[in-house]
Amino acid sequence: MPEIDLSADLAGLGLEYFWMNGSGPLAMPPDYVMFSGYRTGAVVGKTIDINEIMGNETPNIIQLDPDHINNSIGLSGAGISGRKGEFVECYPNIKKPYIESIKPQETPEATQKMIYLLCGLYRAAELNASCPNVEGGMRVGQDPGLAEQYSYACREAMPGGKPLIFKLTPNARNIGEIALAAVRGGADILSLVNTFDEVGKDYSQQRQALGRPPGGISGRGIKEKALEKVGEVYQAVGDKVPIIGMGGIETVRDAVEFLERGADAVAICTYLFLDRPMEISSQFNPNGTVKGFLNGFKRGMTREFRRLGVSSPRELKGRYFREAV
Amino acid sequence: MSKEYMEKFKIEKIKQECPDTKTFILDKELKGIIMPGQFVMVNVTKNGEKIGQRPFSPSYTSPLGITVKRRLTDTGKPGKVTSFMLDRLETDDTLEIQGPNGNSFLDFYNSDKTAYLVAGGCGAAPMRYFAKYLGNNFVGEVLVFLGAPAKNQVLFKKDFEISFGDYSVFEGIDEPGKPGKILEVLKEKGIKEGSQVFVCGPRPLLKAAAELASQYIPDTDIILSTEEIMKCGRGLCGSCGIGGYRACQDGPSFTYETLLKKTKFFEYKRLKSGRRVPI
Repeated sequence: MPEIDLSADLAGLGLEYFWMNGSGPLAMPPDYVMFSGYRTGAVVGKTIDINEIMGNETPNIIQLDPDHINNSIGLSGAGISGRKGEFVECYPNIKKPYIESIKPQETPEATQKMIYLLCGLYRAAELNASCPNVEGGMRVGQDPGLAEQYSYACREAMPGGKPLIFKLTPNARNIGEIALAAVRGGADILSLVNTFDEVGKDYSQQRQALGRPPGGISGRGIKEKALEKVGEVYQAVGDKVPIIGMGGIETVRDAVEFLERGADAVAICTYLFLDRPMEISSQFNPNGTVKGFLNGFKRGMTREFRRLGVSSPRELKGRYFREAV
Repeated sequence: MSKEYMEKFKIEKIKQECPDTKTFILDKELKGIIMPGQFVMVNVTKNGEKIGQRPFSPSYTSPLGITVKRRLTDTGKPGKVTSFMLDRLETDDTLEIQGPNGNSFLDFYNSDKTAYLVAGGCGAAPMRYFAKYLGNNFVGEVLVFLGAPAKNQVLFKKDFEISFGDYSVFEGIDEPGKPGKILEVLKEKGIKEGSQVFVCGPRPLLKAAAELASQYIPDTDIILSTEEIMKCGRGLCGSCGIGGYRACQDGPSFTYETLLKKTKFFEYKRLKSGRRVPI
């Protein structure tokens, strides 16, 4: 039997497994340490800002229907100085590559200054240019000129050998255009999708219950649209720029679909963390733990690759566009 | 309608338990089965005004009832949501409730062992349901220790003494400026070998009670119900982290051993932003 290789190399960022968490639910340095002990390729941090951010008023999440969750968390965080002591203490214990998610500042130069403050304590950095839950959070992700400027500034400020990831929003007028602009500016890797503004059904009334409406929508209900966006971006940038695909992934089969659409790696967010303990199970919670899910995911992925007759994620990348449909 | 969604409840009755503490008895049971120690997220709105959502571990379940004490924020100001509930909510007002969330005391309870229930102030609320549940389902020995800053702030004493079972109830009233009298009472009574101690209340009480109990029983038999800033209650927002665990999913109850060995729960607490500050 051929050896199944679940690893990925994204512009020099080596991942033991081609999956990771989506940015957000892991919010504090001890979370990163704990998660890094699980079967994940990387640990993605919660978007960090220079300043302390309290986060939006509660309710900060609302279940719209069984397939859609609406969140307006608001990038709460201690800020770079606020978390410094704890982060420096924890960083050596983060056993997997750590990807810092950063909030674009008012100007590209201010963003560079923020990157310098991180002191290189990351393996890669993801520019969160697409958060709907803070003022102006989607600005950079929806304007090709800004996408290029900010990518250029971040790339310049970061040490060589540490890839820059640009996180794309599905709410841009032309996601392929933003992707190309980010790459032109210097982004090494693209990740998509962030949350959706809208889904098929009109939930505008329910969403008003959020502390800071309307929030962004995630969950299994966005998977099909997310796959379309990954396909769009892959067709725009081709094979030269690695892509991390996400949006509603729950199963091994879902992840394979993202690879086939053009992704080199995937992220799981809502399904990985919602209603799940990290590792302490309760007899009253029917869901497995985060740790348990990732163990099962790895086993399942190995079986699925065997079933498909492939031995690495690279063999699946973009297959959707090559096979006769 | 499963536990993922908010259900509307109407306030049937409001009981003033003591100054700054009220119990809101609602009009029905929670659709999902809630176990002692689990909690619900209560979303407060009135006349279209959004006040906010907070976690509560119910004191009553048939019908659902929550006991609310006026919180003090990090800056010492009265909490927005608890104050609104105490000062502005009336019967027939509605609350939106999501749950149950979290683990239960029953994940730890061993009916062969004597259970010590130690409650500080409003920590008596989940203990009320716990004691009732134990009385309905088990014949193990239960001792209840109720601590409060003043005699009129001891909650549910009659319920513990009369309604639930053959329980011994002890109260400890703090001397002015000196909290923790209930621990002296507990120490005097002694903790039997082979028993379990469940604690719910302010963090200093959790620490001191655990340290005391640790002299008599293993740290794995000391169960603490943690209170953290909690926003979504469903594991998504990352606000309630304790050493990497989430209070809303891995907790809110943890063993003393877990908190001591794997977290810095007794050294630091979190602010609303997640910033860590020493206790």
